[in-house]
Amino acid sequence: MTTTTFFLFLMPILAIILLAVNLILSPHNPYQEKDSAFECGFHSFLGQNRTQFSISFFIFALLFLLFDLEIVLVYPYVVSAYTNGIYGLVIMLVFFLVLTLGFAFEIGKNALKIESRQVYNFNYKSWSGYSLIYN
Amino acid sequence: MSNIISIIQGLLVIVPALISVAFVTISERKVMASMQRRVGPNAVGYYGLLQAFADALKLLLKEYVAPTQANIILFFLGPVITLIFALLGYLVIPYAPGTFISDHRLGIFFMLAVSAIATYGILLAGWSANSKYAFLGSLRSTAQLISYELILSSVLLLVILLTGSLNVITIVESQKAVSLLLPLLPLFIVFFIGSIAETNRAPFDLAEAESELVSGFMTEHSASIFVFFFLAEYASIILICILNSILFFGGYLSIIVFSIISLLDLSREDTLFHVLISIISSSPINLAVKTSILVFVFIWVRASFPRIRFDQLMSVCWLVLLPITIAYVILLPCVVSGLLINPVNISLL
Amino acid sequence: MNNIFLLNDYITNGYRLEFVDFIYIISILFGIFTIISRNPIVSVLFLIGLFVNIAGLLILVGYDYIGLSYILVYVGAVSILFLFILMLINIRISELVSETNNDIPLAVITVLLFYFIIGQVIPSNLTDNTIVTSLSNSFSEVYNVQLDNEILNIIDLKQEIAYASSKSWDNSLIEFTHITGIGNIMYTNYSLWLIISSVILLVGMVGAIVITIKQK
Repeated sequence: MTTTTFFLFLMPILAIILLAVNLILSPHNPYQEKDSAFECGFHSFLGQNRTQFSISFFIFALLFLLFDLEIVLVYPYVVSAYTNGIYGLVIMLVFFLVLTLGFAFEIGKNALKIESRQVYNFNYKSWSGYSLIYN
Repeated sequence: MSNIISIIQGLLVIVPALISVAFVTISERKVMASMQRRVGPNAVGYYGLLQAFADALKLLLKEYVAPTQANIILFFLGPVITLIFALLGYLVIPYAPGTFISDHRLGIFFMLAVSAIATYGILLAGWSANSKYAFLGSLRSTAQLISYELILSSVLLLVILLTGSLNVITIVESQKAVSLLLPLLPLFIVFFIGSIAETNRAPFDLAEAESELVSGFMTEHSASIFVFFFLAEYASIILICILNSILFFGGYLSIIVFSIISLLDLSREDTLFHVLISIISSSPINLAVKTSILVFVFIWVRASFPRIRFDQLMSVCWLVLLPITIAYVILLPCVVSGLLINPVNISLL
Repeated sequence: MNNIFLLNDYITNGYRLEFVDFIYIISILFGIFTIISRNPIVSVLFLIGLFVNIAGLLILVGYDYIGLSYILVYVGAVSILFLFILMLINIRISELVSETNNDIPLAVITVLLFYFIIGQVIPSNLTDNTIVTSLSNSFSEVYNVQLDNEILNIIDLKQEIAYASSKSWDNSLIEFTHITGIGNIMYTNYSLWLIISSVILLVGMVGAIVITIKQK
């Protein structure tokens, strides 16, 4: 076997050895107060642990998926740029511009901004429309 | 016999990687202490240099707490996944000319894929702990990791455009004339910011900030599992600094162009001058020096900047860094095709 | 007559047909557990294991770019999306208790019918192609290749190794990697598919935002 194979098998074995050292050599005296979830001393309610969420997490994951697919589809161009010539460059630019249009639409709709209730002290009304991040 | 050699080679990479992880921990504490005008840990070894080993020993012998109503298998599996895939990236990096474990044709892609799987450890660990602080911390941390991974892979795309191949050794060797820092300086800044965010470091470390979410997704993990997260975080810091120095600074090549001196042909082949030049021009010491400087800058940034909020964090990624990167992805292939500097790599079988 | 001596590894470079059987069995097991699991998160985790398995199979055969992009896209993006949704929605653990055994004959007949129809179309020996195995250089052990002008004689071939790309050295001096080959045709000959896929991605982007945007 080569070094690559040995390395790929060594990693899980190392992790399991460290875990096993702890599980074997450490004391284990569980009682109910120690095992409960951390809530600064209070008891947590039963249904409160997995609650509602804001939609922005879903939007981030979805947009990451789409842009990741786009980058993965542009990777074959950058290694074959010479063979494809100008035609390949134009095709790549058309592909990329279609997705950039979608991104521009989404920036314009403020879909990526998580709402915060922070009020800024400076006169932010004069900056409205200039900054993407603030207000 | 070849089996024994491959075992020794594998151990020769992993054991120094883990020891250097320990010493990066110590150096972080001492350097941050110096920046804050205090001493830092100085009790354990000479000047406190064995502190990390004492910490690791203590953590390995501590009691583990498995919370009630938590999925036990996922609880232990999350940190294991994070550790395994944080250490797997060391497989494809070249430490010296000819010194690597694997000369994979898609080495950069392999590192990207490995860091994509490593985010699962955080997601599973936070969800399986069955505590709302850990869950919210892991959600935010996963959203941060996937957003900045987009930036990293886009900048990698542009580096490969100028290099022509996804092989890590080809990227290093193609910087023999000039490092890729010179044409791609703004992209180095974007990649550096992205790599600080990708490793959950300050100022992007909401996941571990104790004032925010009680140490985030690591809240319920106690002894050996915490060691896994700790090791994985510092190992990925070192790995991403190595990746930075390979992509933008030339890896094991020397910054100063010694080839000019050797072109002048001032000395014979076997004098000390020539030996010195050939040692300095491509040696693992170069990679070590560059990586150490970048790790020091990581620690420096941690001591200097305040933490930013989660919505500001996401806004920086999606509304500032990503448009810059998209603009470069549209500009650079046009420049490369227009100036006819397309790199072509011919591999003879 | 030319003599070529080659020495290489036989686990991660060419593959042995027995190792592929492991991957097949583990994928079938993961697929079954994906359907059987009661907890939907465990089910998605088995699906992730299945993706990693198939990616490993693709890398082993030689399609390394597609295999790694399976890991990058399927495991790294699609499954994270699934897990986000599952973890944030209050899903009850499904009950998989069935009262009678009356559906077993129907299930058996359906599976047999499916295999009978599909099995007539799929080639049964995808990897045992003798032309590929005899023309490809197999990197299993040290062996001695004797090449005449027209006939290729590979002697001392201890195992049969299959590889997805033809590696006989006198056909082409330049070897393109898998990703370069895809890039050569995807941006020139099949460029229309690329543009269609960009329109699909655009529709996905715009559609999700239009649905979830908050009207002020």
